Amino acid sequence: MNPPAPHPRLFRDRDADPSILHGKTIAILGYGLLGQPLSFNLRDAVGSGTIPATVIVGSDDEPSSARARADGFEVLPLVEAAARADLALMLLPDEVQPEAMPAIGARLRPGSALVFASGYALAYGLVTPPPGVDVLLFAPRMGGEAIRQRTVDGRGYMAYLGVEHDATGKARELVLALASAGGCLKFGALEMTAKQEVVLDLFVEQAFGPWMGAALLSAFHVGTEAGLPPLGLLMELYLSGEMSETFAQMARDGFLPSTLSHGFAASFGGMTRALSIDREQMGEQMRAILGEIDSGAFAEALQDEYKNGYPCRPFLDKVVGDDDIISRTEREFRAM
Amino acid sequence: MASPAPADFTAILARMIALIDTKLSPVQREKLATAMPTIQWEFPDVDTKLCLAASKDALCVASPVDHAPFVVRMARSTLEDAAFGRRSLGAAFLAGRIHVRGMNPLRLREFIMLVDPLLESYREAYLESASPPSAPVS
Repeated sequence: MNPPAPHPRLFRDRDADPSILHGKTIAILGYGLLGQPLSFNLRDAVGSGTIPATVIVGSDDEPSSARARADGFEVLPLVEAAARADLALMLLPDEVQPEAMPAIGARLRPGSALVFASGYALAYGLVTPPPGVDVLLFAPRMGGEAIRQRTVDGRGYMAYLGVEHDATGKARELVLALASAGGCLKFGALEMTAKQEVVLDLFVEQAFGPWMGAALLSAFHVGTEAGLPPLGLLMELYLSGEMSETFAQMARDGFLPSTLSHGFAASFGGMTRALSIDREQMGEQMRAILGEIDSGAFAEALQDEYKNGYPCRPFLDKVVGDDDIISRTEREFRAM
Repeated sequence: MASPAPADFTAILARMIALIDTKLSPVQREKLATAMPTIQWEFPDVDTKLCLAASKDALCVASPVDHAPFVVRMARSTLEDAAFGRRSLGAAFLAGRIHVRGMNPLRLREFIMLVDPLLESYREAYLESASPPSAPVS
């Protein structure tokens, strides 16, 4: 077994000097799940007068552009926003970036910075930023709504930071300043390469997430088949919020200590049952998934899906949108 | 609607495969043959197994094997409910009524391509079996 990799460096606000953003134009390229909250955070931080800087939005998607205008931002076509930018944040969906990059890259000014919120396109060699620009990674590890809320609350949020190409000699200072202004360094950011970021992200999404989802579905269906009330099952599983409290407790008190805090019956039952789970098989599947992510096979499949007009999407949407018993039970609970 | 007897069910499945073959384009057939040359369908409630073998020229029925590399297992009623629109395959999958073993998730697209022709073909084959062609009028 390989020894564990060393801890990446952790950055906090004390490591950053946001004043270097003074007078700069920050272009948010893509006003979606991440674009909107980051635009708000940056406008609050650097557009407020203490550090005068300008936040603009680049978007070729009319609904997104309309939303950004309604939020008070100047909106330009993607390539025009890139041309104005001292820092351009590439927030388009991963699979769309390779197609959009040549036109955007051609308009970036030498000495500007191109910032990726996901390592995907860089790590798999799907984009080639122009050589005269800094290429940075600022990858928040939180959904958009939480990014904004935690910034407003003053808690900050986790992110990964990195420098993929330092054309100006100031790349690290710049990404730290951006992360600080974006609100994350109150919590902290780990230094990562684009490849580490994307592999971590996809691995946990694809190896851990499906097991958790499958366990939840199986528990629900086995329980309902045995006559347990569906609403009671959903409450136990996630609807009451107990499960999310448990995860919060893991983060606060530690994974193993949190397992002891629900009483002896819970830890005795949980730990003894965990012994009978076939973790060898689970591990084998996870290693196979990791292999496909690391080799680029997953990225190839995702790009193929994009190039062919998302043929799997209607099937996946239909699975999620079906009138299944879980969705019905949730609706009935909300109507109570 | 009454379910067919097991022997008839096997015949309906075989006919279903023949009908699917007519619904796929040569390009689709070739993609399927490359991605998943055999798909074993298992219906344990009626002790029925059937293997769909795809080549670039045709889909055909092959003999089921004990350790098939790619298996889709469900109750006959699950297939019939989906084919006749009573419950979607997606909902059945979420409910744990369909078990898939050995599929490469990165080839989901090729499998999805088969789903609608399969359900349509099962429905047609079922209805054909329920109403055999009338004798020619002399």
